[in-house]
Amino acid sequence: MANIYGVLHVGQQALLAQQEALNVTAQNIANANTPGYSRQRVVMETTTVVASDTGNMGTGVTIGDIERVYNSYLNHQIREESETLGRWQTEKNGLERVEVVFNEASQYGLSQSLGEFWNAWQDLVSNPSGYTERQMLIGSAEDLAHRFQGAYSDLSDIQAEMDNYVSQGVSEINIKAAGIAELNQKIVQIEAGSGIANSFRDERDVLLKELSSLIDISAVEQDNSSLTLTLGDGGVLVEGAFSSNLTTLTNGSGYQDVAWESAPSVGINSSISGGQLKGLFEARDVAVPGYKEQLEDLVDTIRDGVNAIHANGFGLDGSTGNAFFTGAVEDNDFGIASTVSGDVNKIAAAGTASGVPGDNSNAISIAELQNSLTMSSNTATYDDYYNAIVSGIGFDVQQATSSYTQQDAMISYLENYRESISGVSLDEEMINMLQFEAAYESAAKLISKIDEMLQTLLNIV
Amino acid sequence: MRVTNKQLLNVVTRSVTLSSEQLLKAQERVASMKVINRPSDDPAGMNRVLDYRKKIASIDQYLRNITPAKTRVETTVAQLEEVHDLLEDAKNIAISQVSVDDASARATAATQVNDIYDGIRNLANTRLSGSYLFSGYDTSTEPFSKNETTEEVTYNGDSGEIRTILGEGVTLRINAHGNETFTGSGVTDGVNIFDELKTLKDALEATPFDSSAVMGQVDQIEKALTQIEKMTAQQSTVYNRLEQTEDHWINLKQTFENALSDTEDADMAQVVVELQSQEIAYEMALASAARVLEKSLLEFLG
Repeated sequence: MANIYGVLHVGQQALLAQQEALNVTAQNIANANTPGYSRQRVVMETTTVVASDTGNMGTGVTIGDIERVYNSYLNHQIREESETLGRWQTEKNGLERVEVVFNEASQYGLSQSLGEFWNAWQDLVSNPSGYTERQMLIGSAEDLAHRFQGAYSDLSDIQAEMDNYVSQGVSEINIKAAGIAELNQKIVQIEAGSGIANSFRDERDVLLKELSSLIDISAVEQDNSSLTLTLGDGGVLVEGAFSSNLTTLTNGSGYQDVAWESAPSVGINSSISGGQLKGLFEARDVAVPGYKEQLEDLVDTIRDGVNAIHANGFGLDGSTGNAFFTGAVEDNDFGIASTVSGDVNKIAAAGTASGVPGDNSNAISIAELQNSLTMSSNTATYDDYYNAIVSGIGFDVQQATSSYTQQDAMISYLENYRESISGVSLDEEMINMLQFEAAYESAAKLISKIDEMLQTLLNIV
Repeated sequence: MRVTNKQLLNVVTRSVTLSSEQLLKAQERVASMKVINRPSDDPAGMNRVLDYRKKIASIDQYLRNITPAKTRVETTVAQLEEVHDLLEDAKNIAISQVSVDDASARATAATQVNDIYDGIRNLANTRLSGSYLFSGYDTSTEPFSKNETTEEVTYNGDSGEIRTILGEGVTLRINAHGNETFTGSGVTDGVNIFDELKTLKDALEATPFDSSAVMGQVDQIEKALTQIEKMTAQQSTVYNRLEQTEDHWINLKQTFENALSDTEDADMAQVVVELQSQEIAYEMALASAARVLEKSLLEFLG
């Protein structure tokens, strides 16, 4: 049987429901540009039907749920790809810094300097007793040594820079992990009841994505809605409301490794396989040391080759057994021997003691080192070897750049897809708004009609 | 498929970013006029560029080596030609005195031969840029010194071979040895020019005059002339070799310079057109951004 108060009640329900729906629409519109926001959707349900002798009667509408429109698998994918993007990003940046050190595109690089050194020996061949030629030789030799040492030091500087980023990364990881733990607590509290912690979940997702770009993690959501994060070595970073901290550990080469604060002497670098930290380790511990080693090899071989021949020769003052180069790039003291740079007459151009001053045979031998197969188990010249270093770096940068670009494009695509599902479309919200507004007006109209009907009833009495 | 405002924004941002990246690259190429501005632009190309540059630098150095070598050989040949002329004079003097029996004429002739002797010794002691030409390695020692009392000349130099670098692993001896040239040591049918001239002078001054001795010296001087001619020919061969090598390198250098330019340089017309098309692409990205972002339902609602 119809009940006039029942109808009033239905009207009241409708009004409230549309109002709440408008509320959600307002929330969506307000957060249209909030990063990581997933739009919320009102799910309206009819309330329980009441049986009556004329049939089933509806009793109105209620808001069943405020749904967060969200695809958890997509988010998981985005997270994982962020790990890879973070890794390639830092590796690419590190390698690009190295490329600057060896940029031979201008004509004033190490290659030119090396060529001028050998040419100076040839000029000495043309005039072995010439003072000018000897001075010029020392000049170009010092330039060469300076550039070799400079390049090596620059590589060490790049490693130090990467090292800095590692420390910074560890601090950031700790901050974000703590943030996630805090959000875990809030979400668990809210969802223990019957609520849904929509905006906290969004915030947690944002932090999680940022954390993933730093280091590779595996995330598992527990039944109580808290997120447990573990690192590559199985250690737990976040569990419930508690987060563990990472710290840095100085390793054998003097650079920072990552370790758990609870076990600060055990490095866990080997278990890190993604994120910016991985990229930094690849650049700092693998790529740059590789280039350094090649440079060391080149400089040592030049030094030893020239010194051996030079020691067998004779200077203008009859001196012999003198080294030309001293030191090593790895000891930061590569340069010209002071005996020779202090007195150019000691440069051993002559091959025999009696051949001084016209004998230029020793200078010829040294000049011809340029064309000898001295590197790579006697299969390459110094120039071949150096050229290979330069093009090797170019190739490495190319590879890292293409991996990064590909990853970037993929994430862009995934993000757009996520937007398509969870993003706010202002046009859509606007249409919803019209929809709810119309329903609200109609419900209000209904209530006023009921009111009129009640007045009519009262006037009967 | 649902399309949200943020999506449109993302797509627009991305396309503007990508096209501005390309624009930057095109600008770089126009500014430097090179297609390879860093090793990663073309690693294999960079390798070739470095190789060509090295080859060109080496060739320049070989050319720098050849120039002073040529000067030295030219000077040596000039001295030898003068020595040849002086020896011819000595020969003529000797011949003229064989058939004439005039003591005072012979005395004059002896003086002339003495002058020729000193003249040849001076030529043998020529210096070029502070180094003696005919001393072998002993370039700061005068090759031929004369003992005034005994009137004997000694060779003070050595047999060092002065070489110059012509190419990869290729050297060439460019000096003439004083002892080979002037004292005939180690040469088949070699004569000591100074000794023979002294013998001639002595023969001219001798009393009684023995014309057969003077005649004998004419033969010796002939041998001396041949000796000088051989050495001159040898030096001329060296000079030809230097010139040929020089021409060879000059031509080859052109080839490498062309190859370098092909690999490294940008074709001006091409890069400018590329720059223009990137500019257009960039403008289109911006224009489409403007159009897309402006529209919204609000424009159409009351």
